[in-house]
Amino acid sequence: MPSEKIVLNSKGEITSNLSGFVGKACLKHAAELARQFEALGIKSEITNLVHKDTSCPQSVVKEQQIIYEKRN
Amino acid sequence: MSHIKTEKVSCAGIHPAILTEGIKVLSKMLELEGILVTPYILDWAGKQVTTFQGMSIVSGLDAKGAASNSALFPGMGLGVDKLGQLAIMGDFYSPDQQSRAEVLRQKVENLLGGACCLAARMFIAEKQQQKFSLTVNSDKQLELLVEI
Repeated sequence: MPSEKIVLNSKGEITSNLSGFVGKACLKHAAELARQFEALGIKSEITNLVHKDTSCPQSVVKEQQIIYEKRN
Repeated sequence: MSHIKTEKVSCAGIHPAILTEGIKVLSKMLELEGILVTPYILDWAGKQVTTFQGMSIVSGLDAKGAASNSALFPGMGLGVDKLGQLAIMGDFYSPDQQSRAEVLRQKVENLLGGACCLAARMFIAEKQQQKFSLTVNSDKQLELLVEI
């Protein structure tokens, strides 16, 4: 089952780790989440994604990161 | 398969309900740093104050003594005003109190964006009936695990 682990550190930084997604599903999930965040007033955008499982044959994303950040 | 992302968020324009929950999350973080968190702040006479000008105090930070006692900090209250923005309340009279208030304000500003992001994710999980748990990890960080 896919899961998401979100950690908030003492500097106020958020780190998310998405597990159990196959191929582009993680990107779809992240994009949907960003849309829902925006509806709640949290402006965010996906700029990067780190794909740690390089053995995944369905993956098209290798070295990017998702960063949600202030847009205004 | 594992994907890592980092997020930086601000609290400008955040839904008031999320801001309220974000204040609770950031209070938990500050509690982990050893800061006293209460549902009130203290006034000049040391009386507990839970509402101010119609605003409820969501969290009070470091409320240790009456504002009239310059050696003690009366607490910094955090709430949401009628415009849906963060309200910081407190009576900071002495230079020490003002200095402490500035330190706490900085901590609040640093943490609130991320705390609201975590609160928003919990809100979304609840709305979508996803199972989730919020725990403190060994590094004294808040960890939200959501089953999707």
